[in-house]
Amino acid sequence: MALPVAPFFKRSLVRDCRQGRTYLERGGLLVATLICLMSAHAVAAFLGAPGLQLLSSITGLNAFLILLAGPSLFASVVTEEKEDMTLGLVKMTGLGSLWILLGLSVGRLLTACMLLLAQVPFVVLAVALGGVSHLQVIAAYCALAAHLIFISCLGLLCSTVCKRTRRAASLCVALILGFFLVPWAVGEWIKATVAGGVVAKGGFVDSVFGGLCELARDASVFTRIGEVLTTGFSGSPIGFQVLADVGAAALLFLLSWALFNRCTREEGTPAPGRGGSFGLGGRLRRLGMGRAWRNALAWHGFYFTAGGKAMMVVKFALYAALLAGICAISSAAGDPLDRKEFGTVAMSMGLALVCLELAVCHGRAFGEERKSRTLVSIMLIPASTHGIVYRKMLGCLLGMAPALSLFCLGVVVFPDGFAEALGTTVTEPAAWCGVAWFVLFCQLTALFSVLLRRGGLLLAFVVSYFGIQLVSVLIIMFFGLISSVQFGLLMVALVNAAAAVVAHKLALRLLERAAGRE
Amino acid sequence: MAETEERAEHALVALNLRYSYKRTPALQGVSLEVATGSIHGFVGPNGAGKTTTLKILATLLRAQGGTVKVLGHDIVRESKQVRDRIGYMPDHFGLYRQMAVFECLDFFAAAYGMPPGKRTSVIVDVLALTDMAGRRDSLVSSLSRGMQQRLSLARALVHDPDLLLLDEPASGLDPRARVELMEILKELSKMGKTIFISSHILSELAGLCDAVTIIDRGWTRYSGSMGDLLARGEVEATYLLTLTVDPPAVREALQQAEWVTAVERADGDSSYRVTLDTQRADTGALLRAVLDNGGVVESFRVEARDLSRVFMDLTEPGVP
Repeated sequence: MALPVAPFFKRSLVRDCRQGRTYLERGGLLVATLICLMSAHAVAAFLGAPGLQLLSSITGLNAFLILLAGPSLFASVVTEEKEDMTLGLVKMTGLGSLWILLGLSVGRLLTACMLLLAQVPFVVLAVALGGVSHLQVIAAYCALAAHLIFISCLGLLCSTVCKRTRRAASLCVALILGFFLVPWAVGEWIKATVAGGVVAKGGFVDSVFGGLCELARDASVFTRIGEVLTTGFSGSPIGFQVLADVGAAALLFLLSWALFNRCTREEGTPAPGRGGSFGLGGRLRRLGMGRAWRNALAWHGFYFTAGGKAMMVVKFALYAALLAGICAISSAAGDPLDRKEFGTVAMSMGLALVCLELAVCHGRAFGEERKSRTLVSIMLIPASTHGIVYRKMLGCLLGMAPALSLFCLGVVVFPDGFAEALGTTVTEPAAWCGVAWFVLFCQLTALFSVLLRRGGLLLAFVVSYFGIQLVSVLIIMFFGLISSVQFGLLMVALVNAAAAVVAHKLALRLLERAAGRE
Repeated sequence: MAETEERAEHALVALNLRYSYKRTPALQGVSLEVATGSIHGFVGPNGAGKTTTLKILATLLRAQGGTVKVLGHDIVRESKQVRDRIGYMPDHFGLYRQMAVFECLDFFAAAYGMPPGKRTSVIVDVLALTDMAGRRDSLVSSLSRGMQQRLSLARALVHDPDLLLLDEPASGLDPRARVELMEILKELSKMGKTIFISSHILSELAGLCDAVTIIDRGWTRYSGSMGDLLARGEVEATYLLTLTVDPPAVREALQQAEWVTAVERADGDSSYRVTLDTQRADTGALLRAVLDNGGVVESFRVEARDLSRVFMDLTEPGVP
């Protein structure tokens, strides 16, 4: 008798076989591995241990990509069915919630595992290149597999609890940040307070909270990869992190199972979010969206993509709390931030947040329109396609005011530092390279968000990352003998900038086409 | 001067439109003319190319062959002017489900460059016209399909376009909503709007349209007035005959006449539906036969040709 999940697997397999995307993914993986190999070979001459270079670059990248797969791939497992209103039909077949959850999640997890497994034969080449052992390769991939299972179950839980993919993805990002950053921040704070004499060494706070933070840090895949890649590693391939991740994944799956029926009881097409602006009364009414602005598309971008005034207030509070937290940790450690350090921290945080929000907005601005099938209405507005896009992005930029304010605060507090950083950016090709890469990444995010239903951000990162690797390797191969590093970086920056322009034009054309095919 | 006349006469002129989705041809030769101020039906079976044609007319797709002029503007070179003067209603509404009704219309009115002062009055008018005034603060996602259809029409009207392109606006509506929608369209026509409306059911548009274009498998099969369509290529005509005195001889005479192809009882006992071969006899012969056999005529009228039959004659069987 066939297992109740068999139809889901069959559907998943048939869909995978029919979609050109599947073959592109696998082909892309091969190309990426080849680029890593070429890169390791190219830098072997001046860095040594090419095998270790190869393994560390591939595992580090995999760990990061798996993190990105959480919100962009696994967080939509159940919400996609909810949005398509097919979950009710699946439930009507009499399948139990356990089988539905397994059927929906395991197919996607297996596809991701296959992508991971397919890399192993190539990565074993690292052993031949030197500087790394078989045990290290196996231990690294065990760590990655456990990390993948954990993240997929985390995504599943978010997808079960939330009604829409966007909300599930946001929750997933928050939980991932919580899991990886909170133990680190709390651990640092405890260390600092112990060092400053505020908290007694070996006391309750130090031993219990400090111990928990240490445990959480040991359960992180990044800590484990660091251990595994240490020269002379001879530990077990199944470390604490593997057990902790698989155990946590099991708990998350059980929690999803327990909540499934409660969270999927009511079916109705969930409308996209209103950026927290609806239903605000009393004094909070001012945070509502009011009438559309003269620049209606900017208004739409500001309220429906960037979250509007209400989200701005939340961001202001959150960023201020983050900055205050850093100052508090520093003060507790007996080394309070001086003006320069405060300015540098504010500028760095502000810049990082602007970049993050910018990338997210590029993915959301028209990706959401495509999903909601409203592109046709927006593209009929009597303006050119780029006019429509730029106006909407202007609204998104307004939503970044909190992050920009943080950056400006840093500039005001430490103007010399800003001037110095600006000077370096203008004169240093490495900085141009970084800026050009980021622009390319944003353009690719916009492009893939229009093209694909999910995973646009993830794919954009992968393509831009390996793109820059490939360009670097080719430049080293062709110009290595006759040029300096500065020249190479300049070339990479130019290629990135050109690719960004092409991606931008392609995204505009795709947008027009998507509206026509809607 | 000639162009100005053309603008006045035709809101829409499409010649030999062609479009393919990869290797699948959707339009192979669609030509049509829509008179200014008219309601023009656009009919064809599923997959005939109606939506593709409408998307080309709405500037959303670029035709791979042929030319189109909308309100005197070339849709490729002057797409902005065209967009300014048309209102397109897609079959899937294209509404922002997270907005309230008023917000949605306000957004589109602003996007079309309407000043804030004018927007409120225009939206109130449009909501009144579509009978949505009571739902102005409702979320779009909470509206029924019929209501969303009306809102979609309101959205298409908000910038006061001259030409409305409606893609199967009545599909999925209950009979009452359908009738109400048709009434709204008649009202819009009285206001001077040109309406180009698609449907896959010809009879649905019969009472509404002045003219119709029928397409099938990407080709125009007919484009012209409704009256011409009914008379086109007709070799038989059906009449409804009601008698006050109905002797059996009348029925026998009609059944024996060579130029009568069918006689059947209609609604009442003394009513007949008589089908004539129009090439061999006319109505005079029919009436003479009735009177000569002692019948007394109460009423006599031609029965409209069955639109479903016309549609079936013009289109090919099977799914393209």
